[in-house]
Amino acid sequence: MKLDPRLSATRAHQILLRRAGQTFGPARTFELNDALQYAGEALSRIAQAPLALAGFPPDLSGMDEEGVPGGALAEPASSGEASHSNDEGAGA
Amino acid sequence: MSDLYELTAMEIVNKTTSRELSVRTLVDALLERIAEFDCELQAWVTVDADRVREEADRLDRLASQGRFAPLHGVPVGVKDIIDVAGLPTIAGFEPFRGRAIDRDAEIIRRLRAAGAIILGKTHTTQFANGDPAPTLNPWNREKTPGGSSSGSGAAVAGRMTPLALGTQTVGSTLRPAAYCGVAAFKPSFNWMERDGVIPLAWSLDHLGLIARSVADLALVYGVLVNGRAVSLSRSRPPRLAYLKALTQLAEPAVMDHLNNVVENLRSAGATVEEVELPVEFELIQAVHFVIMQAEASAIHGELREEHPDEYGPSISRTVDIGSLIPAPFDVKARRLRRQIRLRIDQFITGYDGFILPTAFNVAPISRTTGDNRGQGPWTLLGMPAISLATGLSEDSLPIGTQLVGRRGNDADLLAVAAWCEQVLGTIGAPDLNDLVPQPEPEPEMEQESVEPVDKEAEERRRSIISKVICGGVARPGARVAAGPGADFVTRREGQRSSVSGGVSRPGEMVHIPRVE
Repeated sequence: MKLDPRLSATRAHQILLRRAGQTFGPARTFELNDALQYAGEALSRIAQAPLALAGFPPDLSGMDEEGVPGGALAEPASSGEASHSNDEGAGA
Repeated sequence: MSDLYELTAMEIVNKTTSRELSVRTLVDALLERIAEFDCELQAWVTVDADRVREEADRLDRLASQGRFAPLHGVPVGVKDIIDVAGLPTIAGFEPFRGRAIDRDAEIIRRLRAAGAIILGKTHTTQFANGDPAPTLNPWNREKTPGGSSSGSGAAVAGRMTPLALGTQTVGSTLRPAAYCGVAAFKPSFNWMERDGVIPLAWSLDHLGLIARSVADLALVYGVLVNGRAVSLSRSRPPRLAYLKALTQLAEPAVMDHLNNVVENLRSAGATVEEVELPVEFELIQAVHFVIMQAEASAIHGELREEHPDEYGPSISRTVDIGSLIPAPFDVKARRLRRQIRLRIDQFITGYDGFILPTAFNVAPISRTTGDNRGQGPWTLLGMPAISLATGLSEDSLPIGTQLVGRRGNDADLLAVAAWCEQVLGTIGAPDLNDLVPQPEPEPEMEQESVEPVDKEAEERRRSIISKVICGGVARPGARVAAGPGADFVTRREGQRSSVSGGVSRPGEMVHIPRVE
């Protein structure tokens, strides 16, 4: 499935159905159909959402930020970015 | 001193540190209540009564030496995905039942250091996902208590503990609190280290607190992160952004209630402005969904392969759907989360918080864990959120009002919530006797009374509380059998007897705990 802004929910659902059939077989795919439909809608929305490529700090994927005990009280609000961010999967 | 189970955490600390109340007396009262009602409510997975009493005695000895801790003697129920040394962490997953846990999770370590008592483990949906726990809603046995922190919400509402721990990956702390009619707090993301907590989705999981008042939440949160209670004083009434468009997604009773709540807050001096989120609600949900499915699939894929038959349908579905999400969509969703978060951070500046319903409905039937749409966005964005029990529907089901604060401003949100709670008040307690199914009238039944309790039997019953499980409900007049030394408890009369069998009275339901 491509990250194409024209990806419709119906098309995404069809692709997911095909992949599910290949991966899990027809019986399980039938069981998953409602969830696959919902997933298709979600993937379509994500594909269509405009992304600001350089408008904010870089990706932290894979960087493991340790928790900051007491951060919520110890740090002023303006510096809460690092300790309370769950961006890009970072976090303890 | 009667009704000790009604004490809040704040009251307990005041009484134990003034030596007006011994911790042992308190925990005995709570263990008694658990023994009396949990066969029906099913809030608890494990209660280690002997250990609880030992710990209570230790705290009382410290008190006799004038040594007190900030949460001296506050009992805590712990969601059963959080490790407590000496108790299994089952997580609703049978293969984990025999797993030995020898180390406390960090939050448990801090609670113990602050003088809290771990009362036991509370039921969770399997792995904190969507497969319902056995717990009933204390207001109506046909309804869900919400999930995934089902037992924690029900135990606090049922006055079995003043405090319980939950976790929230979508809405799993605030929603059970709303459906069960108690207060809950999900602080900002990463407020507390999560070692010793079984994950569902690393970048979404939050630890949360469930109690009966904002003062209790502020006490426990403050002690855990900073060694002292959060100050709840405010210099002015709050300025709130009312998310009315989202509120209109709620069922009429909830929507009407929130409109009343807003009017009451305005009357008390709060500024409440109707606003619309600057980001499409459906996009927020889509981003949350994709990230959660992908992470949960990564976490649980391998274990599910090992134990396919032990995984419930909801968590299995999550694992399978997550495995189908293409990587670029997952990465873009994470980037979109940051983009959305920056916009919401900017948008909320100038307000003390958002206000909206915690859940868009009252507790639905028990096949589900309820509607998580109202809670998920703030979990995705790592923002602090509080649920207050502010009303009851016509069917006597609780309705929760949610306040959401700026990320990192947990203490400020607690103060706002305390102000609102003072204006709005809270609802009362459910009557747990209502959970017991009412018997059909059956004429001409055998008359044989149950022996009244004696002290020896009572002591033995207490000693096995930690090991009993609910053995079932006998129909009126039925002959019942229990294991040697087991007791049974008659709900309607409140009498107990230590026998190995018996016949229930006419019109009486008998609940038989059995010894494992």
